[in-house]
Amino acid sequence: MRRLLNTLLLALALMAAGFAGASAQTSPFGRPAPTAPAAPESKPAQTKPADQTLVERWYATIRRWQSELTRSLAQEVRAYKEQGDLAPVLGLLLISFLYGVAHAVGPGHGKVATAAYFGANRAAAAHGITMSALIGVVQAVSAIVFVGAFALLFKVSQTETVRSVLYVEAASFALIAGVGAWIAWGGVVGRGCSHAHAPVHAHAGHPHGHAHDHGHHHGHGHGHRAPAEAGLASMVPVALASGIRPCTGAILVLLFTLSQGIFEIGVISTLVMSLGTFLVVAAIGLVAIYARRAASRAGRGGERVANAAQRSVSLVGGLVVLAFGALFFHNALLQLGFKV
Amino acid sequence: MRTLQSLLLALALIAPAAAAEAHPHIWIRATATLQFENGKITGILHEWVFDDFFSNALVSDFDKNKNKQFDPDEVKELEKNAFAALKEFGYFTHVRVGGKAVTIETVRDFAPAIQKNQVVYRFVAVLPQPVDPRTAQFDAGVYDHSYYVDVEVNPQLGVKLAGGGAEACKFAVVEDKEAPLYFGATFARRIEIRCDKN
Repeated sequence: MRRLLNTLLLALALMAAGFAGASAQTSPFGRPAPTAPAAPESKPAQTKPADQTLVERWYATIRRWQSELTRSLAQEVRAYKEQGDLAPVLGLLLISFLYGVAHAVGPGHGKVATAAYFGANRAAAAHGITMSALIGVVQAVSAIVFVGAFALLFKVSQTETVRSVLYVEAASFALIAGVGAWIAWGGVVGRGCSHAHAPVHAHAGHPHGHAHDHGHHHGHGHGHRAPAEAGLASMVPVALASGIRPCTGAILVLLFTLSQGIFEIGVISTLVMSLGTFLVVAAIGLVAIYARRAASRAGRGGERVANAAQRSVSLVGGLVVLAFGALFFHNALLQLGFKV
Repeated sequence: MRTLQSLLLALALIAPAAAAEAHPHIWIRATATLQFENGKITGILHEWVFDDFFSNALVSDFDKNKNKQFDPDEVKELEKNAFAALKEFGYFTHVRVGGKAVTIETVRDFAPAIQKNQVVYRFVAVLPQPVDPRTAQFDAGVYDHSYYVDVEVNPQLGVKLAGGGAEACKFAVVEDKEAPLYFGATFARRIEIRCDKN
C-alpha cells in the first residue's frame, strides 16, 4: 500500500514538474504564446508498428462510430432544448450509454489496469464489481467536478476548458503508468500480497486461512508468502488512477448543456455514460478474476509453477499497463503542444 | 501455463481495442481548394466545419451579443483568441515540395461564420513561394499530428482545384503510411497533384 502510494506520489511529482512549464504551451484554438516559437516541421507523427488492413479497418470503423455517436449526442441535446419533451431525453440516455461502452473500450478507463490488477491479485467477483463501480463513479464525478470548477466556478471560457481536459488526461495516464510499474514490481519481487508491506512484518489487517506451505522460493527471508489478495485499500488507488480521466464525451456534453442552460441533462448523461463504462470494466475484471482462479486450480499440483505463473502475470500485465500509460501520457503531452 | 497464454492472448486482444479509441477532442470536416495562378499553386483555401460541441463552445465564447453571427468586432476577438495560435501548428497544413516540408507562415482572408449551429473557418494558407507542380512534386496534408483535432478531408468531395492552369491538373488523395495518427488509429492523408506537361 505504501509503495503504491509512493509510486503515485512520484508520478504526481513528475507531472507537477512537467506542468510547471506548461502555462507557456499554446493550444491551436487558443491565444498565441507571447513569444511565438518556430513553427513545427511537418514531420511524421509517430513511428508505428507493423499494420494489417483488418486492424486498420477496425480502427476506421471505431473512429466513424465514435464520431457519429458524438454527433448524435449533440443532436439529442438540441432536440430536447427545442422540443422540451421526453423522447429526446430517452434517446440521449441511450446514446450516452452506448458512448460510455464505446469509450470504455478506449485507453485510460482502467480496463488494462483492472485486468492486470485482478490477474495479479486473488479476488472475489464482488471485488471486481466494486472496483469497476468505483472507476465508474470516479469517472463521472471527475467530469462533473472538472466542468463545474472550470466553467461554472472559475468562468474559464469553453474553448479553454476543452483544452484543459488534456492536463487531467495526462495526469491520469501518468498515474496509470505508476500503477503498471507497481504491479510489475510486485511480479519482480514476488510480492504475493497486494499490500506491499515490508518483507518481515506481519500480515496485519487481514487473516489468512490457507496453509503456509509455499516454501522459501522467493529469497526474501520472510516466513511465508500469502497469495495475493485484493483489498479495498489497494483497490482505491487503482480505481482513482483509472477513473480520474474524465470521458471526453462527458466533458463535451456537460459544456454543451451548460451553455444551453440545461446542465442537469448533461449530469444525467454523464452518469449514464459511466454506467456503460462500469459494465465494460466489470466484464473485463470478472474475466481476469476467473482466469486467475482457473490458473491457480490448474497450478495446484505444482506450487512452484503456480507461483512462477503468477509472477509472470504480474510482471507482464504490469509492464503492459506501464507501457500503455507511458504511450498515452506521451501523446497527451504532444496534444498539449510539448515538443517531446 | 495455459492460463498465462490465454491471459497474454486476452491482453493482445485488448491492446488494439485500446489503441483504436480515436482520441480527438475536436472534429473538423475540411475542404481544401488548391489555388492556381498561371499554372502555379499559390495557396490553399481552407473551409473547416467544426463539430457541434466545439462550434457551441466557439459560439458561446465569441458570439457575445448572441445574434447567431460573428460581427466584425467578434471576428477580431475570435481571430486573436481562437485562430492566431494555429500559426504555431502550421495551420494544420503540411505542404511538401519535392518531398521537403514547407512551413505555412502566412494566411489571409480569415472569415469565420455560423452556419446552422456549426462554426465554419474560411481562410487561405499562402505558400511562401508559388509552386509549379510540373517541375516539383507537390503534396499537402491537412491534419493535426497530435490528433487533438481530427481533421477529416473527404477524399473525393473535400478537395478542389481552382484558378488559372488548374484544369490541366488532377489530384489523388493517398494515405501517408509514414504519418500514423494516434498510434496508427488512422493515417494522415495527402493530396498529391499531377499535371499534364505542355
